[in-house]
Amino acid sequence: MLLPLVAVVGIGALTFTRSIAALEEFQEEAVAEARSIEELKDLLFRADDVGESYAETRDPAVGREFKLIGGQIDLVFERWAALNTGPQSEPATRARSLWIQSRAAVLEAKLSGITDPKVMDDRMDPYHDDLDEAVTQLGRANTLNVNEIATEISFLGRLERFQLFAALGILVIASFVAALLAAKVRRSITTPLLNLEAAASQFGSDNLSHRIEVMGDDELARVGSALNTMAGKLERSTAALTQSEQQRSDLLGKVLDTGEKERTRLAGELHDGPVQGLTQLMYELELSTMDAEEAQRTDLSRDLNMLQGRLSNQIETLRTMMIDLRPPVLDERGLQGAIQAHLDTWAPKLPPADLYVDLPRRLETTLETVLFRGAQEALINVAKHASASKVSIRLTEEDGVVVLTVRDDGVGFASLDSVAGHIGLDAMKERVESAGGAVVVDSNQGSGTTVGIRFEQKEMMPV
Amino acid sequence: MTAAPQVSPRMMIVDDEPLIRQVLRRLLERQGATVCAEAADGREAVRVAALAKPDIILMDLRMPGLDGLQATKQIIALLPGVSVIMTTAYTDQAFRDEAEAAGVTAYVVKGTRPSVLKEAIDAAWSEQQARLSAA
Repeated sequence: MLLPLVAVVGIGALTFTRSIAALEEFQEEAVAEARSIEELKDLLFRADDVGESYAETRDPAVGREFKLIGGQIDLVFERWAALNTGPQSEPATRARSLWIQSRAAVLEAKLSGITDPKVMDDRMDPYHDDLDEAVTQLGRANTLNVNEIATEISFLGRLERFQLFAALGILVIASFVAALLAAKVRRSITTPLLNLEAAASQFGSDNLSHRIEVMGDDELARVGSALNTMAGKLERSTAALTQSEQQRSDLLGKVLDTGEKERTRLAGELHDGPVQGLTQLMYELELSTMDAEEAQRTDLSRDLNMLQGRLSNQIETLRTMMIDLRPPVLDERGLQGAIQAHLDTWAPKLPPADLYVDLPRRLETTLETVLFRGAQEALINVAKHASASKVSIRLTEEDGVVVLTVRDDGVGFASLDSVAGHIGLDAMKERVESAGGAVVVDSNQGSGTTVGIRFEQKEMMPV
Repeated sequence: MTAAPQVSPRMMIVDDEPLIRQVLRRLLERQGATVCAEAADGREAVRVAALAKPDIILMDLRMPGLDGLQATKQIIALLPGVSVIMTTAYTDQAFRDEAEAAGVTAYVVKGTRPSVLKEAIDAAWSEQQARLSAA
């Protein structure tokens, strides 16, 4: 908006400057004309002097000079006649006419044979006086013209200054108006747009409680209102979803916790009930076997011996179940002991295992359980599916972040989706995530599998 | 007059399950051992062992109060020559290692054939006899 205004002011100033330049040029011409008039006067005076001198002396050299001056005066008048069209025109024409008349008078006097200088003077004086008068008028007219030009230039200069100041004033006012318009535009368009952009950014960052400041009743204001309404609905939906997810997580946590407690209870009952009872039965069978041997009842003794073997297998099965349900070593010796015990139990089916544990403190019980179950599941997968030549288990805690990784160099699998349900990863993921952790599985066909479980440990129980 | 040489070990049974204690006593006595004392938990075991001074103790691992490992450490401190055979349903190596560290002579898993227990007892007794002979 400011640019055209500046251009107009610039063009105006340039035009005025050119006008002033033209006037100044004209003034210079006028001055030159004034000089020409002065020259004319000088020539006329000299013509007078030389003419008088010639009249007195009749010296041919003086006569030639007189003629020469006369020729110069002719030339001046001719130039004037060619150039002048201004206010000097009339006196210039008159002066020239008088000059011609005076020349004619001189010629006439000569032809009449008048030689007396006094008589000649008397005959020429009227012309001389008129000529002087005409030249003086010409000079005055020229001076007047120059003054007028100077006045005009001065007026134009003032006009130009005035117009420049006026233009500057207009520029200032226009700038102010432009600033006002910009502020209005900013208020009505730019600010709402920026608000919308900021709000979109906030919504994108899940800050759905953010609201747009709605100004006015234009399209942007309506867009802002619509976005506010949308954000409100989204916020409520998100809150409901979060609450629902929390409830689900809590419920799942309770289910898992209850499940773990139930497993612990069952393990305890197996230990105190069937395992003890069958152990007792085993000793009873041994007593009966001894009785049969003493009675030399070899068949009975053999049968009882066989029963002992079968009973021992059943007790072993129960014991394995008991440990699987809740490894006592986890409660009593912590995570490292439990993982090691699991490695021992599965040693016949596992490749050589390397267990590295670096925990500065013992972890919270629930976390230990979840991590142990994760390690247990991952190791069972290695034993059953990996065909690996080695497996490494790392359990570390650094800056409150607990990480368990189980890495094997086995056959791996191409797609997690194809196997997740079959290898217990879904259950592991569910269990870990419900406890606030994350599971990452990385595997490629033929290049082994890594299962990572990560927890950000907030509270730790001292050892 | 010198006492007749002791031909069988004097044994003590520690287990929180009374029926186990009862059948073990019958079995051990049938095998020729003398069961001189019984205890139902670790604390009682320490107290009774100090009085009965058994040669071999069959010690359950998991018991209320003082567990078998703690009781073993205290009893061995009181009776340096005693042999403790840990009997438990737990097979974890961690427990085996801790039992060994506590000074037990043998680790017998409950539910295995009784002959395994008898072999452990015989070995412990032979070792004690050998120690006595050497002394």
